[in-house]
Amino acid sequence: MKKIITTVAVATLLSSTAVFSIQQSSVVQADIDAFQSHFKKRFPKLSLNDFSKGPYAMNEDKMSQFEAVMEMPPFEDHVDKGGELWKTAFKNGKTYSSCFSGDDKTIRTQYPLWNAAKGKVIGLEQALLDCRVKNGEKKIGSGKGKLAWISAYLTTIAEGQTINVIVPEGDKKALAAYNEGKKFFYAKRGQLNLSCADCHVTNPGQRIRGNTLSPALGQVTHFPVWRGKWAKKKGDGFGTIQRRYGGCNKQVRAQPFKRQKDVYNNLEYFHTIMSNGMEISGTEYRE
Amino acid sequence: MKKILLILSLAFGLSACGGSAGYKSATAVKAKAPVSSYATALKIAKAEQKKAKKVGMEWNTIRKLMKSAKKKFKAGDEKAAVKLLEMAAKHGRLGQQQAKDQAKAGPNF
Repeated sequence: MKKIITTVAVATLLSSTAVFSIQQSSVVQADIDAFQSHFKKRFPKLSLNDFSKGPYAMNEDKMSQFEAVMEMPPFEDHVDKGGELWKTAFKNGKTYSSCFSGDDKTIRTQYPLWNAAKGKVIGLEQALLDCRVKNGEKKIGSGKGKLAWISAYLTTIAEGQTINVIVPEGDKKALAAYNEGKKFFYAKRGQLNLSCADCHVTNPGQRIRGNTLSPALGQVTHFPVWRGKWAKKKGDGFGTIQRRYGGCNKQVRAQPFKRQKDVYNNLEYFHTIMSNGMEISGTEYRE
Repeated sequence: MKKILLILSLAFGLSACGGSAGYKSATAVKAKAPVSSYATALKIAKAEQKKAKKVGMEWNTIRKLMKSAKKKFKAGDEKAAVKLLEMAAKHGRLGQQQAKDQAKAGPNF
């Protein structure tokens, strides 16, 4: 009897270890190292987490403006509303948190997540939408509004947690999705023939009209963001990273893709993985 | 006198040839006109747009050009509308070419 108990205990321990020790693909890890060392060489004075402040880390005046706004963030109320929505029960009595495992504080750090069963990347906003549908609620817009507030709440409570998005070693489908995102990131597109990398890898810190280009490293640490530009137009100023992708594509005169579909999900997967090891800085202000 | 008559007949003959050539080219332009009609140009532009979209490189200029072309056509300026649609088709083809050029895009560090 003892033997059986011991065998079962060992088997359980081994299987749980296997679940929790999913290794990052070695190909992807090499990409992360090359990507991050490019930025470290380019900006030797900045620490890894400094990159999360984007263009503000590269300009003292901009940083002082940013700090002044962040003293009394204009978006705090909406983040609080996001927190209330997160905790409010659906009609069936369950809450959003019932769809996620582990501590609420670490949810943001795992997304976008490779879902092996579905064979595709799931972004946090998509997971929130799926949760609503699963619990009999209606779908809502995913680029801004209520869903962005909930996502912003999860980003804010994750402040200080480390990004750890994985492409499981040996999973060819996951690697293919990652590579699709990588290709999108480096491919020039639109009438202006510019890639994401042209602005945010080759030219961060340079001026583009009145703005300073941010580095791609660390861009994902503070989304959804509250942008002054978005607040001026209709809406509350909040936007998810996929909303921003659409805006970037329009700026180079390319037709944007639908949010929460494979193209932007794969791009977000690659983009987030490049910032693995960085701390989430919470929802922030951007111009 | 013979010389003068010869020159006059030659001149008349040449002018007659020139006239018939002008007429021919005029009919040729008229025959071409239906090919570059609004409907045909729109069909071509949409086909190129579809191909560009399929390879993920549709430019956002195409839909704007099509919209402007529709306005021009409704205002009765078919020539301007066709010109815009030809531009839209060109942007579609350039998008397709861009997809081919960027097939092996990757980091350069």
